[in-house]
Amino acid sequence: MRPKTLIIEDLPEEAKKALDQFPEFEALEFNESGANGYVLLGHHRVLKRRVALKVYFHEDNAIDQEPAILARLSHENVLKVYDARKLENDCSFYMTPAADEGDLAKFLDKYYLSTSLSHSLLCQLLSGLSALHDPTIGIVHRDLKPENLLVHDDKLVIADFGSARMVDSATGLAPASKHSILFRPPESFGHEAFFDRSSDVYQAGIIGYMLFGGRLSNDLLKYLTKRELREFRAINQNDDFATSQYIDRCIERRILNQRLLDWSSIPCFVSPPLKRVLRKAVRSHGDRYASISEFLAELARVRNGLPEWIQTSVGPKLENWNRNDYLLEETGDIFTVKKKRHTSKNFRVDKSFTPGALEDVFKQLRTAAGLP
Amino acid sequence: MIVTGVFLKANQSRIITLSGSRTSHELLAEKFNKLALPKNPTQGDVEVFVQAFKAHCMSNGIDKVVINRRATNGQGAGGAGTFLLEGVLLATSQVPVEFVHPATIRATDRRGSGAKTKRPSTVDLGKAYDLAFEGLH
Repeated sequence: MRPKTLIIEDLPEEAKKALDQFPEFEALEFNESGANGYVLLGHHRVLKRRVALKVYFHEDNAIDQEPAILARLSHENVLKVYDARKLENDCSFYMTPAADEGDLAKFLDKYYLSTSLSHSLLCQLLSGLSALHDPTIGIVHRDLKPENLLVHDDKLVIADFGSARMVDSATGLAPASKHSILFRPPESFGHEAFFDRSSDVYQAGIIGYMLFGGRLSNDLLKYLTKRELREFRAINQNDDFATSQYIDRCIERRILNQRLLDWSSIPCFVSPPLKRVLRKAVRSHGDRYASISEFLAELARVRNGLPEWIQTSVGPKLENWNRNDYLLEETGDIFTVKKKRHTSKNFRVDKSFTPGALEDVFKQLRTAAGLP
Repeated sequence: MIVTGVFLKANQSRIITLSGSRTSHELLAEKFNKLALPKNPTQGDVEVFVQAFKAHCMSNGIDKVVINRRATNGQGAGGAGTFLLEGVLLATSQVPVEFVHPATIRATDRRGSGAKTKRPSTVDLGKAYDLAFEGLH
């Protein structure tokens, strides 16, 4: 949802109270897309920087865990907290730096990411997660998804710790979260549902899949098979609970059978070793990376010699591969290979490649240029 | 005490993490045993290397890192790979880094290598284990 332009009188009472407590804060934008509160974006007159003020609701007199968790963490990829105050018994607010690009979901919608930027953002996410998983902190985030990650100056910052929980120091387990079904790992379903550090690895793996171009639709009906859709239509459509329960059950089956992610949606130019690393991160519990550091070590290994691809408006472009740039220019369904020296300006058609479908042209280029 | 032994060889580091004491210890994070920098690393390569190593130290609560003293003379001395890795570890490690000379490991083995019960069979990982063992009390 787009942030609304600010009219103070239209703001909810809690947001107005927060503004009254913070005369140094000049509110500029209001965003109510959060699940349990609002965000005010504005300028801090004393700190002289853009800040975000999150007003959120919690159970009466409950411990306000979110700012407390943030205050314990000191990592460049974890959101910092400047101040936290209580407004009412069931409502509090805290202040953090504002991210210039907003959340990762918007960032992915707005820009084509190069493979190196995608790789770097994924590593930053894992690096931030390692601070949470530090045994002295012992937290699992449980709700990692693009909407809960912020991007500022091409740096990724983990935010929204509303679902974070401490892991049991003896078992290493935390209660399962029921947020964001598409991102829930297989072990978070069923009677003995749980969450542990590798569950965060699973969610980071899905984010990696999306960073490298994998599609994950928010339209849950798209995950239903034809047969499931027929059964779904037979349910009383006015019964929201029954319909959402049915959809959740279908998606749960897909997750448990490892059929949620469509790996064919990742562009063919993403290197197979990298795809293998991402696939391992989202396997079932016990088969995936047990820790963040294992996942990072594999990402570090596949980074060596990773071709620098970027999707552009005219087609995928490979930059500085053996001092040459290649452009797979799209005309209808036909792709043509264009080539230039990395330092020169204009691409020219390379007639040694036969134009055709993207996969066919990419195969020719892979053989000719020695791509992984 | 949790100690990570890092055996630097060319542009590769072989890693073993031990928890406990010299008389009773166990291997931790067994799958995190190898981390390399490319021959001509970029800033991005070093960044990912550092992130992975820091993540390992943080998520396992490492108290100390022990690395092998680089050869400064003789055959194999002066290689850029170990020099780079050593510099990266020294500059970025958030836990104390100690150097152990191969002669110290040989001396420990002479006094009795019976305590080295969990030594991996592969040569380089065995050397990383020796380094981690030296860091234990």
